[in-house]
Amino acid sequence: MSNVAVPIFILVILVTLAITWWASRRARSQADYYAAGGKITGLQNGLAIAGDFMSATTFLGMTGMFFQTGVDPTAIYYLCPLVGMSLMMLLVAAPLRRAGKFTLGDVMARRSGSPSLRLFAGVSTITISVIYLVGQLVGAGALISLLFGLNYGISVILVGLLMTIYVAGGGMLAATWVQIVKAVMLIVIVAVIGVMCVAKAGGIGAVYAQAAQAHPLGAAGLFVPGAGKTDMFSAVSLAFGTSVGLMGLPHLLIRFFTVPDVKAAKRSAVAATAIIGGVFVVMFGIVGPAAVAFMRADPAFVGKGGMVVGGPNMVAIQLAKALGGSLMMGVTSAVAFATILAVVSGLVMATASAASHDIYAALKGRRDEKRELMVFRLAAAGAGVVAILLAFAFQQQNVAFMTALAMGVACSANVPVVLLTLYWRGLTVAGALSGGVFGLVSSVVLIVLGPAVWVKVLHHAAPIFPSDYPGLLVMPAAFVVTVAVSLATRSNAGAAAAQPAQ
Amino acid sequence: MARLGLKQILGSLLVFILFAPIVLATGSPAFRLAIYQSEVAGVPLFPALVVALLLVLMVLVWVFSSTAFSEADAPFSDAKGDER
Repeated sequence: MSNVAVPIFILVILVTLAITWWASRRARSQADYYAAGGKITGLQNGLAIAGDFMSATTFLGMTGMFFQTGVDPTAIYYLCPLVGMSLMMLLVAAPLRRAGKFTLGDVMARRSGSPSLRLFAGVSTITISVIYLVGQLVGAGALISLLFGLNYGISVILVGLLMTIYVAGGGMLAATWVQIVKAVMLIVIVAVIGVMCVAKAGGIGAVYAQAAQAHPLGAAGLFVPGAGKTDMFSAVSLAFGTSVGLMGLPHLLIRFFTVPDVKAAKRSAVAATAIIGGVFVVMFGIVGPAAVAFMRADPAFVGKGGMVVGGPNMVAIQLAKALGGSLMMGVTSAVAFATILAVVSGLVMATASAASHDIYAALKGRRDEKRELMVFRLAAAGAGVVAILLAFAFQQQNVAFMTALAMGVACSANVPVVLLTLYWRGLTVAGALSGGVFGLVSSVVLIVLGPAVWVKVLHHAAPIFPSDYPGLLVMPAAFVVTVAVSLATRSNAGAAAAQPAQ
Repeated sequence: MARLGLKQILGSLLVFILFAPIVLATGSPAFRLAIYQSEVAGVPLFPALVVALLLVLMVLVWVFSSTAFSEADAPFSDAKGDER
């Protein structure tokens, strides 16, 4: 346990709780809770979006993945967010901002006002956010266990409790400011670690040379892809699901509702991209190889089978220790902890607003702001409990992989409906519902039948579906189902209820 | 309704074309080019290419977001008769 880590962790918790208290005094209306009153500036929103992208997945999971397998398939994980961001800017961000108000359900039900479509949007948002949440909680549990020697379960419950307090207390304003503070901390620590890595090795070239010597895969296995670690279907499906899936991630999309105008929305996108790109360049280009160079051959950091002390998600934390001892490890752990807290807050935010604004309102049939806010708080607590329980089952999974699963589901369930809502007049409620439900159910079922859940979690001998990434199959199928059912219901209805769009 | 123009289609294609060599090389040794074994200033070529692509994508996002949000903050127009 690091002596330095304790006060820094406590400081992070106190600062974030102070932000929540401040936000709770300002949040009064639905708009305040769901979209921070639409008063976040472009730069602030850019930092918050970047913070959402740079989760425990980036900092802990992807560094851990590079440490184990090198560039294959880590390069795809690093590129997908910016590929997805490009697609988001091209296809979704501007029309989505014009069409929505608080949630993805607002966008999907915009044209029809259909409660069923709103209900689907709510269920889909919750499913995706909870899968994403579980990955973050697994990272948090491992981190706190390593540093304080606390039981994994207690660590997960502690983080779950904090995220519920942030969101139930301060809504989107608190979630956004916690995210901003964390993003600034993460940028600084990644820059410092990057500089220290290069200085310790004596140049970037030396980092790579030492890494190639330290890892049993050597330079050819570590820095060149295509050695059979990832099959073609998994590589393409992972790339497709993780990049296109970004356009269906509710907690990212709702960030464009928090700024006052398009100018601020544009500024947020530019700021977010600059930050994400800069951090990813340092993480992939320097931190990953440096972790291999400084720790892979050192028994102080690596145990049996090349596994780093504390588990596969603790590589970045152990690297900080290798670079600057307990002080650096304590500071880096606090930043990782803040990262997790901020991201889980954003996810709980998306979950709670979907439960109250989409599901509750759809079932109730009318709007009641006061009751919706009560449901919002209860849903935040409910999401916390479910995610904590699932975090026990998925304890041994890599957090980067869990995020890819969430994006795979988002890609299959939400993207076809969102894109067709924005771009195709022919979409009907029946088409949107059929395609959305098909995408959601098929992707979840295939993930459960795949190696990661069927074999590793449920302990069966062999998977029923051969890949962990079904997005490449399910998303096109969901598009086909949506379009086919829309065409069928348009031509069959005939009556006033199904007049073709003007 | 939003309009799907040539800009969006070509932009999306460009992004996937840039991304494809990395994905294909990851999926199969058949796409593992010999030049990936070489180095640029001591840095293996493949990681250098990935870093370069990250920088290119940063620029593309900036260009795409400038274009996407350049239109007036007009309300989203619901297609009349869509209510099904």
